[in-house]
Amino acid sequence: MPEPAITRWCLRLLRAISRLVPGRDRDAWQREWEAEIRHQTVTLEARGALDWRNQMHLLRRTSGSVFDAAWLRRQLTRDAEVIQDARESLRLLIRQPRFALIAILTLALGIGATTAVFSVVNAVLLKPLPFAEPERLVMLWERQAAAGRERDQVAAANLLDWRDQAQSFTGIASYIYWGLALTGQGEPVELQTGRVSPNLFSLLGATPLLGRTFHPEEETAGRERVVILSYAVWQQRFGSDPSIVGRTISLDQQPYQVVGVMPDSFEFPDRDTQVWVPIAYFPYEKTRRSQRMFYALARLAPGATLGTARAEMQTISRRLGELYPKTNGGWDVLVEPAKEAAVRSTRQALLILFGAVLLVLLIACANVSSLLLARGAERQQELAIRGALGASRARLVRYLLTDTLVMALVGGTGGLLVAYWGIQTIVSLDPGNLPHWNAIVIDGRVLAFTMLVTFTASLLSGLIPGFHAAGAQPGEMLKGVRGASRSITASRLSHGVVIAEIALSIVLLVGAGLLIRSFARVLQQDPGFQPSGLLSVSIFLPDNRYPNDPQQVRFFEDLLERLRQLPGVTSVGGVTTLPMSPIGVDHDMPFGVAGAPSETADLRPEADFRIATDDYFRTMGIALLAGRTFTSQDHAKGKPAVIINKTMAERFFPGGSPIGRVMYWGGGRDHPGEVVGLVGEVRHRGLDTAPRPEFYVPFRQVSYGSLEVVVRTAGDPAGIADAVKRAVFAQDAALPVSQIKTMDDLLDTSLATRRFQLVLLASFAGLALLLAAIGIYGVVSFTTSQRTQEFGVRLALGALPRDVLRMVLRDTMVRVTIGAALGTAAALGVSRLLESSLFEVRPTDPITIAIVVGGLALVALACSLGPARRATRVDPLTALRAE
Amino acid sequence: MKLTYPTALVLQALARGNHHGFDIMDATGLPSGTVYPILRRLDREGLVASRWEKQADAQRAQRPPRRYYRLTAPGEAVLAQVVERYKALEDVRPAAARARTS
Repeated sequence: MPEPAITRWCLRLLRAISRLVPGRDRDAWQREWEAEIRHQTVTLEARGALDWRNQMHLLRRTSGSVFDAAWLRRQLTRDAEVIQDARESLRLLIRQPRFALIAILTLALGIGATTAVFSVVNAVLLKPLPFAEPERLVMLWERQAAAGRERDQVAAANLLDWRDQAQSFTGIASYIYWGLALTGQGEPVELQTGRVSPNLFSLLGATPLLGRTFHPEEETAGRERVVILSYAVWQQRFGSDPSIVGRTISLDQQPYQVVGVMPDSFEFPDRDTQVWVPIAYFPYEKTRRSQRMFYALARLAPGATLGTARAEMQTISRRLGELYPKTNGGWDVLVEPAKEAAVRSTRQALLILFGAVLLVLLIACANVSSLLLARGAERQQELAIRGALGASRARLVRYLLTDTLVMALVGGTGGLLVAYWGIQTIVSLDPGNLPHWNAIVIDGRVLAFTMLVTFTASLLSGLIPGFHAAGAQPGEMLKGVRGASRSITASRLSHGVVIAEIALSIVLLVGAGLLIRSFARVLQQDPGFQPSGLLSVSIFLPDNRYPNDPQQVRFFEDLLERLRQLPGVTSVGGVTTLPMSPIGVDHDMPFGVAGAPSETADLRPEADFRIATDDYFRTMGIALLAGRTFTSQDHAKGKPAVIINKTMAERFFPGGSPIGRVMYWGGGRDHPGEVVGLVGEVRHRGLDTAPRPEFYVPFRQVSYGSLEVVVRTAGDPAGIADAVKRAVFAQDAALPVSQIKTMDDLLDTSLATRRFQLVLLASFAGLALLLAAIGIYGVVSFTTSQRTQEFGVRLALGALPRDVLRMVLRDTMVRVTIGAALGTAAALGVSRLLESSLFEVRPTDPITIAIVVGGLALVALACSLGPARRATRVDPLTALRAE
Repeated sequence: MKLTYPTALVLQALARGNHHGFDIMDATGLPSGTVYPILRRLDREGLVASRWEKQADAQRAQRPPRRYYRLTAPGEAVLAQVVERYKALEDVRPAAARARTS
């Protein structure tokens, strides 16, 4: 059948229009339209409706294809423009390598530092705990609001009652940090142990790699000699033996059967935990409600919420308070989401760091922005030509933004490298403060964040220069007029950017300055003892082999004597817990002073309680202020003796010497003691923590199976570590000696958290200062070069070079002053966030602010000196001729 | 993307079973110069997908294969939003009632 004439006409028209369609789309376009036209005619014909009206309608539709073709053409142009712009930007960057290098490096540093800190924020704050349904896990704490005790551990007796009574949880598990000596596998070694209730693993939803976890009945005494190994211990101590399950190993000289091995990813309660054994509560643990030493973790039951659980625990704790008013009165239970408990101590510091690094990023953007403003001035003619050739303002802005985007993309890629390196640095600096359950890595979310930061950075740095440069009047520019008014706007914008940079830098520098001053103050503190020349070693005697006091006393007497004989050793002592050390037994002890109000007080005061050997004070270098230290006469049958520190004397023994007075410790009057000595105060819990009331009792009278032994040497204490180890083994070959450290190391470790925060914040502040310096230099160079003619005229009219120099420097200092004022105001507000990290320095410390502002002014002055000098060397004739 | 009223009409026409360019014009009453650029844009944004009709089906109808458009899942989500915004979309004809308009 011949084709109707209208079809032929329409197809002819279509072919003509198709020339508008870009080549890549043309074939498909034509096929689509042809098929539609033919379909329409076939349908109309079949219905006998191909009359003239419908024919005209078809022709109209066909002619509409011109809009379709034009749309496709426009898209092509737009796509091509983007590619063309990108290519142009790259070419421009290569042509100006110095500019490109500075801009890209600046962005890479800014983006990289931000990404690195975000990776930490992501791993610690954003990712959930690596357990099943982690949002339903909660920590339970005992709380005594009246005494300011927000989160105390839990007494086993209370925990067992909660377990029986609470309906809000599918289970409550308990755990405690413990230590067991592994023997029979080479040198005895102390294993970090989690004593955990058997239900802990099922509560966390954790399954073993080999074997099984604990059975409920293994919570009972006599059944508890089973152990689960961590992956690391299984690998390192047992050579990844696949048949380890079922084998018996010796812990504290007792046989324990290995029932399982946990996977490498399982870390609980911390990454140092090496083995887990079930808690079979000792009889005294089940009854002493005041001995709050267990951690409690629970999982909310289906249907229970945090609110209902809190309400229920309030009721239960009130009931227990009524039943046991002496130990439980005034106490209630804090139910806290496990994630919150885990990040509580790090959240604020991390967010402060993140804020700081965002400021660095802003400074980096401001820097690039000012560089671009300067370059925009040089490119005015190019843009004018583009404008004259028909490019719209939007098109020019797009062109210039592509420019920054290309830079930011290159910078962002470099930033990822910087971030990778930054993460390694942060992890290596971390003294163990950062929660570790999620590895700090660059994952999908971090990559997405980096992309976002890169785009934002390119927008932030490109928008102002883009709009400014694109606003040029083509005619004016083409005439070669140096567009005085536009240069002035560019200069103003640049100055604005410099002011912002200075202000932001001041905020960071003040923050870092406050931390540095705090750190210096901390280092100046007298620890109360002489740390150099001291070596410490932890000795823990297992109950089963040293069950009674005389055995323990004899052991330590012999060991101390043995150590005293070592060459180079000048004295040896021992104490239940050393200053600055996280190891040891450290708890508050209630006491009353005979004849003082504290003797009869309902709520007795508490002080830090230590058991010490005769020579402990002399060995540590703790000053004896009055009376005497312990001697061999302070034995079990001797008169009970006590030594107190200065803080305790001042607070609880006012008026007169405490020597000779009697006090009672441990609640009641069962443990009397006569104060025989007064010693100096020790900053026990860190140089930045005020000394607390402290009392010591002699180890012969209050024996204890664990002491931290300190050895003072004439030479390097680390040098005798091996000899000390050998001496311990000579006395008991089955005792582990794993914690052997110099006192200087302990002191250093105690400062690690403070140092970590300081180093990071100071690095960011240093980076900010560097970027600001580059920015100031760039802007002053640019603005002085813009004023070449003005300086030429001035010099021609008789101004002296030093007048020009003064003018340039004065201008810079005006910006610095404005920036400093704004920055100081902001810093005064922001530095309060650091308050908890400061020591003997107020957040508004005027000295820090003065040093920072003064220092920044000097840097700004130094940065503008070069460009200012160049301005004085302008040759008036050349400058005027250029006009 | 900008969701104009004509775009909403095109989305609705697609949802009602009109899958070819001219059918969509019939269903919406919009001219070809409007419908096609909208289709191209929706395609670019991933709100519609397109494929070619099978050769055999086309031969039976004695014409070349037509291009077939359909809504993607994001397209359907966007449609749900615009139906809320433009109540009058209910007037777009379903494919079954399709007839040529003039």
